[in-house]
Amino acid sequence: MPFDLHSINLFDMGKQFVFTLTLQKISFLAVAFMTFASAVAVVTMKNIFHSLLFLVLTFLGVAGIYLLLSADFLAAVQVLVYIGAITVLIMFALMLTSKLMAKRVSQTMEQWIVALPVTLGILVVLIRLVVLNPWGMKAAPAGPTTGIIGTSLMTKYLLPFELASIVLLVAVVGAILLAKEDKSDDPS
Amino acid sequence: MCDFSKNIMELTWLIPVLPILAFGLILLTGRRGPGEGAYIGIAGIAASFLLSLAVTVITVASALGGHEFHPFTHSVVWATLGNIDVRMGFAVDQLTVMMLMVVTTVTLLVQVYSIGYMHGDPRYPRYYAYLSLFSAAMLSLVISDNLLLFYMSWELVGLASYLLIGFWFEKPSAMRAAKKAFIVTRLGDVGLFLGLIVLFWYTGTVNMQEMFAAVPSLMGTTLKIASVALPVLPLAGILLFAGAVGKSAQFPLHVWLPDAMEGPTPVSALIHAATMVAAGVYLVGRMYPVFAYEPHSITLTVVTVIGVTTAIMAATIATVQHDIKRVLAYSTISQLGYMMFGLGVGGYTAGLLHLMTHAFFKANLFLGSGSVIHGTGTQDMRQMGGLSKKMPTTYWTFLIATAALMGLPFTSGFFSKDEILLEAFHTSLPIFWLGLGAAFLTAFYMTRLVALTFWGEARDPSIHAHESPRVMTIPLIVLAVLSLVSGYIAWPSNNIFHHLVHFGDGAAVPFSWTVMLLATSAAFLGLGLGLALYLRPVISPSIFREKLPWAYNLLQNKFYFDEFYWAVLVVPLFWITKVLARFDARIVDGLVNGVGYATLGLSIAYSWFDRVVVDGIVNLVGGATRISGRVLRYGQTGVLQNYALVAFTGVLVLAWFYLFR
Amino acid sequence: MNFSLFYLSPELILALGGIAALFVGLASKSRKGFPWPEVFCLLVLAAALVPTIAMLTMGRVTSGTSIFGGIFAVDGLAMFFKIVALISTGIVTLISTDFFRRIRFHRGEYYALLIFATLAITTLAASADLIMIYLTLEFLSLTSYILAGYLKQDTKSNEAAVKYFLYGSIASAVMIYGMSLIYGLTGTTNIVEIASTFKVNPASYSLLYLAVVMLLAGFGYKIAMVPFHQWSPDVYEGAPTPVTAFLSVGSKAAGFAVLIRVFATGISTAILDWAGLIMVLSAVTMTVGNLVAIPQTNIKRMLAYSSIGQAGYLLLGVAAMAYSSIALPSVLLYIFAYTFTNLGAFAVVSMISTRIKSDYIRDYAGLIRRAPAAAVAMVFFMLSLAGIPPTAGFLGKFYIFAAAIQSGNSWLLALTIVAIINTIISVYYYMNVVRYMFFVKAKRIEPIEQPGIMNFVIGMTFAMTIIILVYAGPFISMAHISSGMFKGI
Repeated sequence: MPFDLHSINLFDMGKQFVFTLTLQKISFLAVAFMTFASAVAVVTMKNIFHSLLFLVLTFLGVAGIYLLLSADFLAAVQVLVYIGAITVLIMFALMLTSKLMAKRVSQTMEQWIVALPVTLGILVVLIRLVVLNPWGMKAAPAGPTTGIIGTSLMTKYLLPFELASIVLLVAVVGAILLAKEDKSDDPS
Repeated sequence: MCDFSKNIMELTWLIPVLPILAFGLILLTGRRGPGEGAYIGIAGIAASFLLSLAVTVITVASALGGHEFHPFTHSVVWATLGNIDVRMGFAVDQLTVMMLMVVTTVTLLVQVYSIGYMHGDPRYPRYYAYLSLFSAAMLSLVISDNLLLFYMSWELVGLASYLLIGFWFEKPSAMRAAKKAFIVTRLGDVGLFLGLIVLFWYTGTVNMQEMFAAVPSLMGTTLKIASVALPVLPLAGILLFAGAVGKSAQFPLHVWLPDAMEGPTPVSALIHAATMVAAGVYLVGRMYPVFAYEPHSITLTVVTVIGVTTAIMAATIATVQHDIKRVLAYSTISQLGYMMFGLGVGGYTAGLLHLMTHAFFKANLFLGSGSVIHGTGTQDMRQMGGLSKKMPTTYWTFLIATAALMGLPFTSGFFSKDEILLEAFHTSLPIFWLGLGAAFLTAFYMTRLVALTFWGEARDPSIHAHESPRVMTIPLIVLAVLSLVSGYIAWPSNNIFHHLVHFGDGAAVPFSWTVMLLATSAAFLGLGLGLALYLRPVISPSIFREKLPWAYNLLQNKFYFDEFYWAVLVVPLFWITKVLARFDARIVDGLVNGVGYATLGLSIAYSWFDRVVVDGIVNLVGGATRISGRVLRYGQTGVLQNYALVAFTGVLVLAWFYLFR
Repeated sequence: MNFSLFYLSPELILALGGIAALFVGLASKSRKGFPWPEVFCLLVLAAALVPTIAMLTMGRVTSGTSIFGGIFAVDGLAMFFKIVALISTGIVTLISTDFFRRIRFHRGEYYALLIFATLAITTLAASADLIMIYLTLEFLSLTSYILAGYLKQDTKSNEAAVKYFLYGSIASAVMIYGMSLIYGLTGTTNIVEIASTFKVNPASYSLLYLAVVMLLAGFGYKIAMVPFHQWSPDVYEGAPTPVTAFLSVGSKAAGFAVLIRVFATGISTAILDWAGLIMVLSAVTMTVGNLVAIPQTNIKRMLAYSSIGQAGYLLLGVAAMAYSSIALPSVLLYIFAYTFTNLGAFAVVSMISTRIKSDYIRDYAGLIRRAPAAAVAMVFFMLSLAGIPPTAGFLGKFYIFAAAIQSGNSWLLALTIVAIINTIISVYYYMNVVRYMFFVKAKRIEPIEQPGIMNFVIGMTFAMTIIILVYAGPFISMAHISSGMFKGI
């Protein structure tokens, strides 16, 4: 049956929380605030290089949340791939194109006046539903997760794992194709 | 039925196949084909005609033979829908053979006639290809034993009609007419399609005979659409009838037929007078058990009311038209209305008899008018006159057909029209009087047409009329003979036709001298008034226009149906599509401009702030460029951010709609 | 793990064939010689088709089984969509040989990408696990982005690729949010296990509903469902025509495959009553598609909106799945008929527009004189899309509407009436093309060259468009066999 939401006030929900500030909670709030604030900065900075720097912070925050959820492997991958590889790649691209480095561009357009209420609406819906839902919590795994993930990738999820390699192949082929400068005498 | 007859009957499926072969052959050979394709088409339809004749003789002989007659059927499994086998095949009974004879005869004559009429046309082979396609579709419609094949042929017939109306597409009016005909009839087709689906799911079959067998069990069954309970049988009947209304140009979907006169005249004769438009009447006749599930059912009442409205309305419009083909077109609409209300008042035999006689004399009239147009080069009757001497064959055949249409005694129309009026007389007197009124109007406008065209003096000296070639006049003579004699098979005291084609127990309504005398005097009254106005103008022909200008204008403008549909349906639809297209391609126009120029003002203010406070005076030029660039960008299509906005709004609306309603 | 490698053979053939195609491309650089890349691509597709058809006829497979612990379904539904993907890519390959004849492009990679795109669809059709579904959808999207931007010299093609990429990223981000919500609710990503979890432990209904809406953003974007459709006219217009044909058929069929599987085996109506939601989306989709198609002047944009409208009719069938047992076969039959019809239409468009150098409908004027065979075939493709007999499209619409009416659900009946009104509206713009081809005088009258290969493609799709109706029995029984689905052991 549909969940009747009329009777529940969004702002009453605070009652359900028990304000016991453990160390874990303090660190969660700090990391979450950092992630959120730097994400906002990413989309509001006028200089694209500044945006990129805040993006690194956002990624770091997400890695922190993974750590708090005892997902140690994911946190490591997050730092290695997103910060170590992707942002560095973008940084190289930016630095090689000096025009972009100095440019100051507004990231918003007139649409924001409509987009803001829509986004807030989705936020309200999400918060209501996610907070009110009785989540069945699972105990966090006791030890490091890397082994478990490795095992399931090689057994149950072997097929997607192999398929991912083909996806990567296609991505590489596509990247080369689109980036390659065609010589005019190229026959094919 | 002996084995030989059985073998012949087994070949019935060839009747539509032969013309389709001709169609393919003409497409392949083009101008290189015999007679530039004409002979192929004629050979195809002639073979169909001979086969139909054989089938007819066998069927009639065994039906009159005294034994109980069973329709000859043959079918194969076409598909399995769910757990139902859908079979496709043909069925031959008396009604089928009547229609077969009408269609093949008229088609054959029209194809022969077209050799002369279409001579020298740049797209001559294509014309014969389309005609063959049409005959094939029409014939498969006639012999179909199931509603599905019937519907498919029905649509194919519509396609052929579309191609032929727009045949002379150099005329923009022809193109418009073709499109109009296709779309207006399609409105009705949708009804037929829905009726077919409803019947299919309630009877579990598309086979007509099996449907009829299931009709009694459907009495009282209802179909619920959102808390409205609809009785299935009337629903199905009215939906089927919607198809007939579209195809047979009944009120309120009659508007396409007069415009369809933009096609070549032989096409008008064949498709828009004798065969295709009669297919609607044939549909009602074919599916009669669904319509007449009880005497005076609601369905039959609808058929009657629509039929009689059409008959009167079209006849009044016909009295003031100047274009010879348009007069005949409105006459066709009116006569089709006649057949419909004949069927509606329970005159199954009468309505179908009129279908047959009308096919002959109306084809004759159209071909005759084609001959006149061929001879004079105009369609406006005000430019004609005095053609009786210059075109004697055309004149006399035309006169015979006119007499038949008026229902003058001892012509074919006399028998069929009297029978319809007789049935109406016994069922509903108001309908009878309205029918009589239509008969009077028919006699009047036909007298006017003949007088303006053939009698008096030639009004336009620049036109040098000549008689048409033999290849055109011989079909006219054959049709004139048929218009004269085809009614005798329904002679009141020995009604063979009724014996063959009847519904239920088949007791004929007793003959009535009152009805016959009233009908005949209505015809003569109309004839007399016409003569008084146009032959020896005792009364001035313009009296009507002068005394009642508003009524004259109303008729001259065909009760403003076209204008009404244009304003109420077409214009709003196009407006909506344009608005939606703009909205869809450039949502931001709708959204942001909708939110108002306030946004623009805001952005100007913002950029002013941007310029002065943050970037200083240096960026002034850049800022201005930026704004103008933004404004321009919305002029182009496809701003991705807007698409994303629409998607997210969609997610929000869908979620919100459900969760917070 | 105990399974026959045979079940995976189409995918193995495609994966190896795709890699090999890259090398074949390297080996045959010259345009002059034997067209190895094209032929090799067709051979790979044909080789993959053989085991697929064989599996469809195996009783055990059509009733449904799975390999890799339930994440890769082997059933009638998967086989059906694999066949559709293989056939449609085959036809697209043939169209491509003509389309790219005078254009410089990287040939070997192009055909390799086509094979990989097919691989994406075949695995997607069999995916019974949210992780697999996400991965294969991304795989398909990634390949499609590259293909859409394949004409590097053409700014429209570049724009199409970028737009498609950005829009697709947004849609799949929303979708994976929905997936994570479902994982949070059930603790599993396998859709069969999701179903059994929900049955035992009914979840928070409204959160599941939100998750479904988010999933629909991802699936809806693939099938071009309103309001996730706006990328399609731009991308259809800009992408090379054979790629557009691929997107409008193969890619769309893939979207329906995953939509059907998730709704039929994962989140069934017993868990969440999604029929109403789909009905609303169906009505909006077909109405917007058909109305906006009317004022279009570019034939590729017109066909884009037309295929949005077609998705609306198909969604009607999907909604009817909740009530009628013949709804799923009717949807499959419709997709099968639509495949040949739409590819045929795009084959004509591709052949004509490369020669008259225009995509505008007005430039199709007088086509009956310039390319009679193509014009006549096009009439039947248009009739089929409009659902008018004697064409396959009529059978598809008839079957879908019949399924909706058979269900007896009054809202479905009302929706059917909306759909039928939509088919009348659609006649207008389909016949508009016919009108230009037959009834408008051409500015130029010299005949358009029709190469043999295009005659073959158009003739074949045309024949199928007729045959599916005339000889419907085998196709209907195929649709019924194909509606067998893996629903857990």
